[in-house]
Amino acid sequence: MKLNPSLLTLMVALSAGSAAAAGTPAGTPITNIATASFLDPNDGTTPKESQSNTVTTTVLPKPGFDVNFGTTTVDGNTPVTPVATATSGAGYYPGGYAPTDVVPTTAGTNVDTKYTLVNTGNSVNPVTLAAEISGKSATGTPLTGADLPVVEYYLDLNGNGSIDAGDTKITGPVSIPVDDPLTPGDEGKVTIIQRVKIPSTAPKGSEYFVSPQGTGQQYTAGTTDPAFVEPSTDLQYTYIKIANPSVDITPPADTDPSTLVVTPPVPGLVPGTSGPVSDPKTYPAPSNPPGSPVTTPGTIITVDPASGDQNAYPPADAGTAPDVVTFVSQVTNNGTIPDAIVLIPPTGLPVGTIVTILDGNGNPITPDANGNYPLVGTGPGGTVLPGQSVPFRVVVTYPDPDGTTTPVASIPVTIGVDSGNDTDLTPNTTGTFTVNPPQVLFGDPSGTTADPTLTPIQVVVPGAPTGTSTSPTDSSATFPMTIVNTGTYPESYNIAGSVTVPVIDPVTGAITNQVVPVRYYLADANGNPTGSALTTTPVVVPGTPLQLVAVIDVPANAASTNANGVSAPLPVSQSITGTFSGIVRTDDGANSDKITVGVVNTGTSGIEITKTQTSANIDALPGKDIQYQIVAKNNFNAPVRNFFLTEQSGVVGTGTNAGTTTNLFTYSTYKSVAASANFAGNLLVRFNGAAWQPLATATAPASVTRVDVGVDNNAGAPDGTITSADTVPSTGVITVNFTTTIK
Amino acid sequence: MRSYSHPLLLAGTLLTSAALAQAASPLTLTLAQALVRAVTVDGKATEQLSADPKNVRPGDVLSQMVTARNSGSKALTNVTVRLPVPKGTTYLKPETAMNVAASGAKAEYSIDGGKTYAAAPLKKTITVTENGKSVKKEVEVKPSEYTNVRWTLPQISAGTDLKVGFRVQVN
Repeated sequence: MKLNPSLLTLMVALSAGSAAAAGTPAGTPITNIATASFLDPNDGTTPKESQSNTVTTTVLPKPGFDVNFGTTTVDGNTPVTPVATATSGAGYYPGGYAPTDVVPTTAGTNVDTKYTLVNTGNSVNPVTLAAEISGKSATGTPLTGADLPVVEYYLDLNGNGSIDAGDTKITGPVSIPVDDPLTPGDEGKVTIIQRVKIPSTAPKGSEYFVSPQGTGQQYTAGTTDPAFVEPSTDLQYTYIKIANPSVDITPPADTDPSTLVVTPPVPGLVPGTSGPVSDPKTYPAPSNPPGSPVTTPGTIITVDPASGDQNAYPPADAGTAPDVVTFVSQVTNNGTIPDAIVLIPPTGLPVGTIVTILDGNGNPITPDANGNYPLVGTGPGGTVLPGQSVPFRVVVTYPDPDGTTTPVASIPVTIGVDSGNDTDLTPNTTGTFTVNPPQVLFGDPSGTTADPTLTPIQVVVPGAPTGTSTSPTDSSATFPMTIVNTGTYPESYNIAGSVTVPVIDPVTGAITNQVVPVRYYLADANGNPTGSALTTTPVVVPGTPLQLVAVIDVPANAASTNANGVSAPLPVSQSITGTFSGIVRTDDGANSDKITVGVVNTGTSGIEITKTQTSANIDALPGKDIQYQIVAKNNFNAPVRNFFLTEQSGVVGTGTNAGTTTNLFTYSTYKSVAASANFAGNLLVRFNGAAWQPLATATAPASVTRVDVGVDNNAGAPDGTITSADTVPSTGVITVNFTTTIK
Repeated sequence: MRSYSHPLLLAGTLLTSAALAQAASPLTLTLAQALVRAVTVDGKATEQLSADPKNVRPGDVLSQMVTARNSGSKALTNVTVRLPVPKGTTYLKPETAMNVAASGAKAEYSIDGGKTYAAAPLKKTITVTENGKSVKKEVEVKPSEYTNVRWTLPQISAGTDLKVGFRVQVN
C-alpha cells in the first residue's frame, strides 16, 4: 500500500523539531523510518519506492531544576558582604538584590526579590522551597532567633517582581512545567518572590543573607534523586543591610543667629583649679527672643568638641529669683540616609529645675506623641539629610544659689537624641549640658565650715606691742576666718575688712574715729598667720575650706570700749567677693566679730597727781602766805567719773595709801583756792564736806579743814554737784592753786 | 472506509509494525537504532552500542543505520536512501560503521525538511544588520541544523547490502 504522499510530507515536517533547552519532554516517542527510491531494474525506468521498518524509542524523564535570580542566571553567590567588582560567585549580587539602609519599622518592613524556578529537565518537577537565612550584627557577631527575619515565598504570576492580589503564598511544592520544544518561549519556569520580613528589632547596621533553596527531582550519575537539595554552592542570596543611623551632638555652628556669627571656638576664661584658665572653645550665652528668659549676664559656656557636652559658669547675681542659662547646640546626621531625628527631654532633674527645649532661633518646638521634640531638616518630610546639622537650644531654669546656705551642686541636663531610622525610642546618643553655679560660705570657723553668725570678741591693750596671736595682752586683735567654696567651680576671693576705732588725741583729748584696716593671712596648721598679707586668696576648690587669720592692730591711743561698767566692743566689718563669680559674702553688722579695747593709762598711774610749791621758801614765815599747785591728770584711755581733788588735814591716805597724814591746815590757815581745767565743765568747790559751790564765787567757812575741787559737767547738763555723772575725760587735767597763810 | 481525519495518528498506527512487505521490491530497507554509550574498558575509552533501546534520556546518543539490501538478481542503480533526523533529536555526524565509502556514495543534507538537498558544506543566506543597514550574508550551515540526510548509492549489486546512517543526540 502506497503511502499517501501527504502523510510522508507530514512525517517529514514532524521530524523537523527545534532543540529544546530542557530536553525532549519525558514520554515523547522518537520514531524514524528510512525510505529509498530506485529504478525498477527490470525496465530501468519505472521509479520504485521502498520503506524500512519503524524504529521507536521513548524518552524517559531526566529531571532537573535550578533556582536563579529573577534577572540573571549567574548563580552560586555566597553569604558575604557585596563586593562591587564581583561579577559572579562570592560578593556578587545582581542589581536590586543588595539593598542598603533598610529601616526597620514597627509596622513591618519587607524586602521582596524575584527568583525564577527553572526546569532544567524534561519532566514536571515539584520543587519545595526553604529559606537559607543567616545574619550578622554590625560588629560581625552572628545573629540568631528573633533577630533573624521571617521569610515567605509567593508566586509571581505576572512576573513583575511584586506580590499582587492573586500572587498566593507558597506553602508546598511548586510544580515547574516542562518546556514545550515546539514553542519559541520557555514554559519550563515559574517566577516567585522571596519576601524577607525585617524584624522591628533588627540591630542597627546588621546584615542579612537570604536565599531560596530548592528541593526537587534531579537526575545525576544515572539515577534520579527525588529529593535533591540545591547545594550551598548553588544558592543565590539576597543581601540586606539594615540602616545604621548615626546622630551626634556637635558644637553649635552659630550660637546666636540674631548677631554676628559667634561660633566656638572662641577663647575665653573659665574657672580652673589654680585660677582662671583659657579654654579655646567657649561662647557667651545667646540672647533669647523678647519675652524669653534671660541668661545671667556674664555666663561663659564651654563646649567639648568630641562629645558636644557643654558646661556653663554663670556668675552670681543680686536677687533670689530663679536663674537661667541658655545653651545652644546642634545635632548632625552622620548617617547615610535622611533621618527623622527627635530630642528626648531630660528626666530626674533636681527639684525646682525646669528645662525647656527650643529650636535654633529660640522658638518653641511642638512635641510629638511620645513627648519628644522633632528637629526639622530640609530632607523629605522634614527629615535631616545626611551630613546636615540642625541647631537647638536648651534653657535651664534653676533655683538661685545665692539665696541658700546649703552647698549647691552642678546641674547636669542630659538630652537624648533618637534616630528615626531604628524602631526603638532609646537615645542613639546624648549630650549633657551642665550648669555650674557658684556659692560660698564665709565667716568664723565652725567645725569644718564657716559660720558668719558667730561673734567672737578679742581683747586688746592699746599701747602694748602688736602681735599675731589671740593673746589678750597685745594691742592686736586676731580672728581665725574660714572660706568654704560651696559652689561648683573653683575661684579665688578678694577679701577686705576694717574696724572704726575711736582714738584720743593725746594733746587735746578729742576723740575721733580712725578706720583701721584688717590684714589677712593664710593660716598654717596651727592656725597662725603665715606668709604675707593678702588681699586676694588663692583659688579655693569646692569643698575644701580655706583657713585665714584676720589681724587688726589697734592704735596706741585707742579709747577704751569697756570702762565705767559699759562695754561697747568695736565691730569688725569683713567681706569677700568671688573673682570669677562676683559673689559677695560678709561678716558684719550684727554678725561682726568684735574688739574690746581695754583700759590702759599712759603715765605712771591712771590719775596722776602732782603737787608743787609755787611760792618761794623764804616766804614760809608765820603770817606769810604760801602757794602751792596741785595738778591732777587722767592718763586713762577712758573717762573717770565722780572725780574731785581733796586737800585736808589729818589722816588722808586710803587704800594703798592708808595711814598717810598731812598737817596742812594744822600749821596754816586756808586763804583761797583757784582752779582750772582743760576740759569743759563748771569748777565747783566745797569746804569741809558741805554743799558744792561754784568755785569762782565760793565762800569759805571760818575754819577750813578740807577743800574739795571738782568739775561739774554732767554730760553737758551741769547740776551743781559732783556725782558719777561728772567725768574727767582722758587727758583731762585739773589744776588747783591753793593759798594758805602760815599761822 | 474510515476517513483518516488525523493523518499523524494514522501514520503512527500504520507504521509501528514491521516493515511493509513489498513482494515485488528487490530493495529491502532495514532501519536499526542503537544507544551509544561511552565506556572505559581495561582503562581505554571506548563505546558500547545497545541495540533497539526502549528508552532514552535527553542527551543520549542514538545511532540510526539503514541497511539497503538488494535481494533481487539484478544490480540496482542510483538508489537514493533517505533518512530524516528524527523529531526530538539533533544530527551529530555520519555513522562510522557505514560501508558505502568505497561504493562512491554521495551524502546530501537538507535543512528545509527534505525539500532541497545539497552536499556539505551547505550554505545559507541570512540577513544581518551591519552599521544600521540590512545586509544579506552567506554563512555555512552547521550540521546540527540538518533536518534530513539522503545518500545516493550509484549501485547496489545483487545480493549485497550497503549501510548508511548517522548519529543523533536526544534533545
